[in-house]
Amino acid sequence: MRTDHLIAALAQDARLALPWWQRPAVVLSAGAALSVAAFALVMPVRGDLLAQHAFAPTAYKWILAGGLALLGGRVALGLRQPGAKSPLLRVVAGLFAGLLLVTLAYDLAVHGSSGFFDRLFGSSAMMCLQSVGWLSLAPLAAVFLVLRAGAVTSPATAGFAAGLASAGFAAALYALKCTEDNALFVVTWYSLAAFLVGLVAMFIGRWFLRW
Amino acid sequence: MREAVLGHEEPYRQLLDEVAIALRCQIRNGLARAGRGNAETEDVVQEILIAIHIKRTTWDPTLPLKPWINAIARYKLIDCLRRQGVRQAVPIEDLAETLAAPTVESTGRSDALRLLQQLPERERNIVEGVSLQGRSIRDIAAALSLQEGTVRVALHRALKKLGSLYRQTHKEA
Repeated sequence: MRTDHLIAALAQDARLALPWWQRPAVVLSAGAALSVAAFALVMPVRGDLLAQHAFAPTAYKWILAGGLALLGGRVALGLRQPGAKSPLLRVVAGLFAGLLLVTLAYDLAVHGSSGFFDRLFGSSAMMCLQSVGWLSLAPLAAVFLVLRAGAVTSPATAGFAAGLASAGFAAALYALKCTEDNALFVVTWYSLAAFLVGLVAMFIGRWFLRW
Repeated sequence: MREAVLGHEEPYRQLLDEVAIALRCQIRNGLARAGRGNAETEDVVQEILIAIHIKRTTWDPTLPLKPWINAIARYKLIDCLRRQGVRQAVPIEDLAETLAAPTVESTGRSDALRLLQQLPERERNIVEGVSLQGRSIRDIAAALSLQEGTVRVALHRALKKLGSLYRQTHKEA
């Protein structure tokens, strides 16, 4: 086929119409809703959620998890557009990593090294990893669908960011149940869960997001 | 492209024509740098054009167009080279052949015609109608006694399929 013939065919297909159920906002909301529904069905919200001693830690978990979800989501969705750059993101990602380190330093400063491993492992480390992993499945699928409709030129990075974003969302849900309130536990296991989901998503992204 | 995004046919065709010309130079250079002849140039150009077409909603109209096109072209070129394995050393005979090669007509390496054969019959007829015979969608719809919308959708699907067929063929090559 000659190239000008191909161009003629492409030009005839110039009109655009995206069905409503393929809109990014719809797909992402559906993924989030599924995850919330799964959480509501399977996991009990912690009984003392509104008590004073639980409020601050939960709020802190939300800041971490929400920050991760927004940051990862912003990076992943930004990568849908070939050639678009946003240098500010590095700064934000740096700040976020800094926040994690400050939290660790704070924990060590307040508690010292006594009972380090008790605080580190708590009693539900595995529960945390598994829950965040499962709850992130639906949002991850949604983000991947949206990314696939875009034009991702760095599939592995986009996959990793998508993983972090959905793990962040899942972690925010799980924080409503999780009764481990010390900073060391939260920073360690929430981050590890997000990292693992990100890693898996990176490998999925490498083949699923190619076009 | 702004007009093209809004679905205007003629500006879109002009744009694609210009882009094709620019791409041809760029891809020829790219292939030469990778130690390839320019026999594949037109196939790669066509693959990029289809990619630009299918992914055109991912261009943000507030940003300049060129970086967007370049990013797609680079992605597709690298993809093509990787699929076929980049040649490391280039024997001088190969270079001589490249240099002596006749100037490229804008015909793909005949792959594209074979690819068309792989489409379902109706889609193939539609693509051939709008491309080889240069007919309008309305004409074709009337000839096949179909709704215009149906023809549009079929054309869109066919072009998408054509895009993925390009990838598969080159993988085997």
